[in-house]
Amino acid sequence: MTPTETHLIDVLSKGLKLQPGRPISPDTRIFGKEGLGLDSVDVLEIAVLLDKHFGIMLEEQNQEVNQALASIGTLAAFIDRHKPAA
Amino acid sequence: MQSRPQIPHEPPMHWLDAATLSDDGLTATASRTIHSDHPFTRDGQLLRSALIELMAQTAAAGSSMNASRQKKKVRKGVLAAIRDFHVTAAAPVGSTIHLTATHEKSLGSLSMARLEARINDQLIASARMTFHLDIE
Repeated sequence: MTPTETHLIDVLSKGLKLQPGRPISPDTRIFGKEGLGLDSVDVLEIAVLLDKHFGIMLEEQNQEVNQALASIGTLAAFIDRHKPAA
Repeated sequence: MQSRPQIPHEPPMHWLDAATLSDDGLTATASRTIHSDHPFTRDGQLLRSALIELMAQTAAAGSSMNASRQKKKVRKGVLAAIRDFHVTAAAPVGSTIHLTATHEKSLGSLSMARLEARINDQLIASARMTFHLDIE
C-alpha cells in the first residue's frame, strides 16, 4: 500500500465515520454496499476532505474525477497526480 | 432583511420571518419567532425535527437570494443528506431562533452548507446539509 493510500484510508475513515474494523484495501470500491457503502451525495464530503487534507480542490465532477472515485487506489493515484508541490 | 423570504414553501410550512444574504453570497441568515400555535410545538417547545426544517429553509432562502443576484432562479431544491445534527438546547415557545447557513462546497448540482441555530447568541443546534439544486 502506498503512503497516499494509507493516508487516504485514515482520512476517509475518520472524516466519514466509517464502520471501525472494516477491512479497506486499495481495491475497495468507494461507492456501493460492496465497498465503503457511500453514495453519490457523499462526493461533496469527499471533496471537502480532499481539500482539507491533501490541498486538492474538486471544481467539477468530470470524467477524470468520476474515474478517480472508483476505488481507494484510483483516488489515491488521482491525489498523487494533482496534489500541490510541497 | 427580506420581508418574506423567497422559498417555495407556503403557510403553514413557510416558517422564516425574515432572511438576508451576506455580500459575498456565502452566508444566509434568517430568524423565526416560535409562537404557541406553531404546528411543530409540543409541551411548550419546538420539536427537534422542526429545527431541521428551519435550517433547510434558511439554506433554501440563501440559495434563492444568491441565484436572484445572478439573475437566475432555483427551479428545484431537495435536501439530500444531513450529517452531524446536534441539538444542545430546547427552543421554547416565545423565543426567536436565529439561523445561519454557511456555504461550504459545491460540486455539480450538489451544494453543502453548515447550519447553526441560536437563541440569544446561545448555540442550540447545528448540522451539515447537502442539497441538490436545479438552477436555471
